[in-house]
Amino acid sequence: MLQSSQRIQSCEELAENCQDGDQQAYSELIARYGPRIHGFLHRLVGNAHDAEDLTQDVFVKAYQNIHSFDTQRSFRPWIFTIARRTAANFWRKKRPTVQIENDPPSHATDPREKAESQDDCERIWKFAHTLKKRYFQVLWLRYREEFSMQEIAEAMEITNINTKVLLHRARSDLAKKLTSAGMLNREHQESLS
Amino acid sequence: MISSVIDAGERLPDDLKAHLERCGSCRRYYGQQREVAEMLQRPVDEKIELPAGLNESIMRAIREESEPRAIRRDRRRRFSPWLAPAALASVALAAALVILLQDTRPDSSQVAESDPGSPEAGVTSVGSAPSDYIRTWSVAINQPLDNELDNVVADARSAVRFLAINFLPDDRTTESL
Repeated sequence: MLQSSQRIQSCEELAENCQDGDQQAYSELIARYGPRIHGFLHRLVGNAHDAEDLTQDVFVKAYQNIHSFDTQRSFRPWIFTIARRTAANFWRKKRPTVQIENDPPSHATDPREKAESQDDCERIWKFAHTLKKRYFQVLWLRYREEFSMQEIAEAMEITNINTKVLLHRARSDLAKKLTSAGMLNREHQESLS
Repeated sequence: MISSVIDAGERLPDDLKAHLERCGSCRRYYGQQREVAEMLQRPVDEKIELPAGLNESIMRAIREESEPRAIRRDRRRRFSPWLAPAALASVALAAALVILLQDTRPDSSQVAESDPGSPEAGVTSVGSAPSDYIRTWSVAINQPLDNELDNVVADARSAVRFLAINFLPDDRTTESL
């Protein structure tokens, strides 16, 4: 009995409790996913103030629609789908004024060393942000949120095959940008280890 | 095939590895895709936390959103026990009054016959003159009280029966009336 009460509930179990009107469970879900949703939206819309407003919108909408959530499925893609749609509505209403704070460098003296630093890691994501929105979203979900292909497909509301195509195109476009910025090797002749 | 390997983060299968060793363009493509994937996978030193007070702000917004509905539900619950019977009783009373007035109003032809020579006779046969109503009320007032009460009870009963037949679902209820 003690063990079951101490067990950490899964997000799906928390969502099920929310469906029964447990607001405390929902607060726990916000604590778990709020930072990730906020981070995702912050990247998408480009400023903290809008990201906060949108994060609130996402969780209010999710609460209002919690009864439509199938607790047999994963909560993670579901909440990111709402976040993605909320961002899309935001762009529809308001033309975003997203700017890359630091212009990406056109040339780098030592690209490999630079890419290893945190600054370059951040810069890569800024380059990614200049891609088509869907490309950025799919890259973020795959590499920052570590979604499976199935979860990406659910969150993006596309098929698994389309997910693979989208991911491939996103990586290829990013590779072009990074290559032209000198952040990626122009030749990949190293051995296949 | 190469993309699938990159997506899955798996080691190269032997047959693909053999192909890449022979094919320069595929090798370059694989190297480029792998490098991009590795760059994106690098952990970013970034604080992942919710802005202060946002959780509370969200919960407050949720409570504010759900509160009006709860209040509306409560109001419905508070009024529902007596609202429907009261409405039914009002309708019954109104119906009874209408029927009472119609029954106590004398037939226009009878009025005309009772006083054929009067100038009002032609008017009352049309049934729209104010004197017609005055005569009706005078007849009603002059009736004995017992008759009047009998009429009221009979009319009320027929009004209730009418309502029961039309609005109550159970036929047995109407029979009992």
